[in-house]
Amino acid sequence: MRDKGIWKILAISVVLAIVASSVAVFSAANLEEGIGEKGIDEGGGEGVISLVPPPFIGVAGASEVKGGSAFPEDEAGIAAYINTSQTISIEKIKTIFSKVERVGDNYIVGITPIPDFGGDIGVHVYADTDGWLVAYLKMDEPAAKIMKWETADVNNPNIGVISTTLVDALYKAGEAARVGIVASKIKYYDFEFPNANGMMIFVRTRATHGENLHQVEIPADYMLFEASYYYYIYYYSDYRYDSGSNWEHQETYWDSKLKVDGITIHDASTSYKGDGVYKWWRAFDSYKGAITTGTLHSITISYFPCERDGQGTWTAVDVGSAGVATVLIYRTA
Amino acid sequence: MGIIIKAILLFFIFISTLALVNTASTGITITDAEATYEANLSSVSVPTEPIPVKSIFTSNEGALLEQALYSVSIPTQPIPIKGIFIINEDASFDTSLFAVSIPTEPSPIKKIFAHLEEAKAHEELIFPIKLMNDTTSPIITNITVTNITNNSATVKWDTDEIADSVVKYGKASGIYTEIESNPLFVGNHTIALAKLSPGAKYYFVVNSTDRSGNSAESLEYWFDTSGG
Repeated sequence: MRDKGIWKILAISVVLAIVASSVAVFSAANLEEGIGEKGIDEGGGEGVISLVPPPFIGVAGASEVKGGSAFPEDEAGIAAYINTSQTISIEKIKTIFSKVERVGDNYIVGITPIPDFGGDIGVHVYADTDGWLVAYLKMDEPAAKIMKWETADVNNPNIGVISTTLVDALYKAGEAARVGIVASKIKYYDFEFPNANGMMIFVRTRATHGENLHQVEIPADYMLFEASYYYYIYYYSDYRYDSGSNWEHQETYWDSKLKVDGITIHDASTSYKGDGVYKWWRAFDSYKGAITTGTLHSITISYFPCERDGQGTWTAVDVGSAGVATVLIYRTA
Repeated sequence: MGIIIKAILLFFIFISTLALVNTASTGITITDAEATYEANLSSVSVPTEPIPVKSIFTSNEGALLEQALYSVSIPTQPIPIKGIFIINEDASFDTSLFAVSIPTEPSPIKKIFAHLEEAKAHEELIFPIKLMNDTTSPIITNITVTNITNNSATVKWDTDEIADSVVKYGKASGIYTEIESNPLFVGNHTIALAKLSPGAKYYFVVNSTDRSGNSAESLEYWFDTSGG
């Protein structure tokens, strides 16, 4: 009992000694830099105090080890994630990757192809043995690449429910790892814009000769971090059997433009002499300042598929379509 | 004799009055006017003031082409329209709305407004705290006070990771009655303090919390405002 009391006194003394010496060091440091007892007074104007904190400055938990996640947050942009609460086999996840970028004892990062209009979208997937699955785009990729068109009929698109390539990648990973993915537990985050708290996707298509318009207005007190688009056209070139029993090329010309407030953002016009196959054209990019807060913007998408017959007459045809998905990353007021 | 003359005068007045009445009953007669103008009612402009149009109501699409709306001007003052009401949408082709300007004043919109889109989805962005497993607080360095005047000052500091910004301050050491903050996550922090008292000493601490909720707070510093 007595021994314990002595040890307590000794321990308290050591702590007091450390604190006292630290304060002394801090005071000395301040004096060395010319910051006297009075600090700056009557400073006015551009008075500046440079305060160098002591080594022990209040950093609660400074002795703790930095987080243990291997997730590459420095390279990630928009992401969808879920904790499956089940152990995930790294080996099973590996089967979905076209390229493995990184692998550790308890995690793996790779790229998985997600089919979409005009070809695959490469989605990065992080998985670890704790049950985390994160599907993400890299921060230098436009967030609009998360739009998933594939379920729509390209000749008559009817976009009712918007899915994302990120969610598809999570389902693909879940299926490979034999773990359940509960849709309602999937959440989104944008590692590129940590102050963003909202994402919106909206879509407009045109499947016949003409143009469609949609409008967007973002409140003036919102912060807009990214406005990007995923723009596609799908066109077709056909052979025809003429009266002379000869196959003849039919020239086609597709005119499609994406405009904001009347200014062309992207021109997808293309001339193509057909060989009887469908063709895709698509682009992903930023609106580059054309979409701003506090202003009503009109976004038009035109689609003019034309075909020239054997006599050289151009006529409009009703195949294919054009579409644009706009993704906004923002912070509400 | 005088009576006879008076009777004759009264008779002429009576006859004249009858003639005028007869003339008026056959149409509007205007005399001594410098000009006359007869307006055709078909060209009459129907004023909408002081009650402006609040909606466009179209029905019976067979009779109303969508182009009919092209030239409609919708007054928005003094009462801005709240919506465009269209029934029988088969007839009201969406291009008819091309020219419509949707006013946002004097009540600015509060949410993102998307119009004529085919589909729309919204997702809240939430930091995955458990995934990142970050239990380390930000490290605060380089605390400075600049632009000190008699009633204001600017406190700056850095953190080794992005975090929010809070300055707690007051005129007594250890008692911080005021607080200024910015919820944005940044690495270089700047907080302006205003409405300070001239010639007063202010004690303050700075505080930053990262996305995982780990907080750090500085020791107490102080500065004096000018004047007083």
